[in-house]
Amino acid sequence: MPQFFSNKRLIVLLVSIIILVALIGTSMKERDALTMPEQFFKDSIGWLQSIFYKPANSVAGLFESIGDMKDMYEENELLKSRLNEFVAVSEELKTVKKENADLKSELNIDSSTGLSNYQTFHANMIARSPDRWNDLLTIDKGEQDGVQADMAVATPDGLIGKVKNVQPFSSTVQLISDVDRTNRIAAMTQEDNNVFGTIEGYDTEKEVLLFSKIPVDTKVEKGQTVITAGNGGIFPRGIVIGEIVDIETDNVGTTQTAYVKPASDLYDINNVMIIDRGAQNVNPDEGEGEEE
Amino acid sequence: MRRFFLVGTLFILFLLEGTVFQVFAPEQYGFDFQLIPRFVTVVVIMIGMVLSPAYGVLYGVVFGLLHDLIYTDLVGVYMFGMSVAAYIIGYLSKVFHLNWFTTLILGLLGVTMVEFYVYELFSLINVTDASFHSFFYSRYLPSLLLNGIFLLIVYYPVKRLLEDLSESRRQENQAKRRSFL
Repeated sequence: MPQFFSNKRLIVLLVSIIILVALIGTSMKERDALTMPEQFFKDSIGWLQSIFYKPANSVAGLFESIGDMKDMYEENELLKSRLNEFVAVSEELKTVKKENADLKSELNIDSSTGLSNYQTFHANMIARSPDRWNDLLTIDKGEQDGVQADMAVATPDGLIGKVKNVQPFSSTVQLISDVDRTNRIAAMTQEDNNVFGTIEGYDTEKEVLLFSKIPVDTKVEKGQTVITAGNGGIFPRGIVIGEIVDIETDNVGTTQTAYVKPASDLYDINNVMIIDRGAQNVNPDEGEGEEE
Repeated sequence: MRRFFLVGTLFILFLLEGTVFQVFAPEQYGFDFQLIPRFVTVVVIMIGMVLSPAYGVLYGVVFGLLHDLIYTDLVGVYMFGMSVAAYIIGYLSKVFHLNWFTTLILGLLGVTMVEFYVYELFSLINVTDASFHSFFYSRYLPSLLLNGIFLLIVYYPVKRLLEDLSESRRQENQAKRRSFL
């Protein structure tokens, strides 16, 4: 057996550790955009990934739908009975919406600048980081389709994360379960008297989000729904985040922290909605056309 | 030709880790443990054992860098981890007579090195806050089982491919030497 670490090899090892530290240091910094080669690699591999992901997903979907088949009759009955309810509610919604618009125009509020005004467009997930340390998804819409960094990403159930990096034809989504200091969301409870706070991270053991900075004298209860508050600048108001499952007073005793169970399943994601708050320079139809 | 085949196989394994495997990942079906596919790492370590440690380092750098660029946003973590693991296991393997059992043990040792190194590094720079207990039981042990099974499945085809590759390389070298003389 040759000598395990000769002097030369030891030096190579030390140099490569130094390079490793330097590389991690530079790539950990807050970056506005990725470098050109990174974008190129991510885009071309994203295209290959979508070739693999889509058939696998449809096979999995087929098995799932066979499994669902036996519940379908009962579900259908239930849905039919709910349909009448739906008609009534949608009529009511229409009148309320109209009334709201009338009142707003009477008060001279421009409806396009509201906190809860946003547009969505759809994208498909094409890959996910296999090591669970980084909770990143790749989706098949990029800068060409109007995606920009920091846009909110949701499934029909609720918020799942935000766009971290954009490439021309694909983008990377950081999930809310990713442990990151900068991953903060202004949130509030959806009740008569709104309680405001911040989502400040994720507890990987309990699989809950930490909804903190709630003043100690305000009352929050288990089962309340938490939504985005919209005053953080990035996210619009009204995207469902999750439901409060537990409440704890902090050590100091001035604020309390609620544990919020995310409304959307963070592992069973297929189609996502990208939520664009600006909505001026995005034409969703154009994005659809380019994909064909 | 065989070399392209090896690179192609590694690349497809790399894509499978992030796409097809994620569709069937156990979390989707409500299980509590995580299965982390380290298919590329396993094959790179086998390259280090069968071909030579230097080749293990080369493939480790290339595919580690690819992993860093695509699946994480920190460059260098897997590049360093995979190549160092392939190098150390490549040298260790010279002590043993390689059969399926020693390859399995050494391969899993390499995967263990990569897993522990990545966990320690990511806890150090706050990418994760998982406790060692949960890392060990709900992540490391199930993943070890998965990668062990994977190694046993691909052991014979990959070994054959690598031995063919090293044989053809040896013959090339001999031919070169002969023509040089």
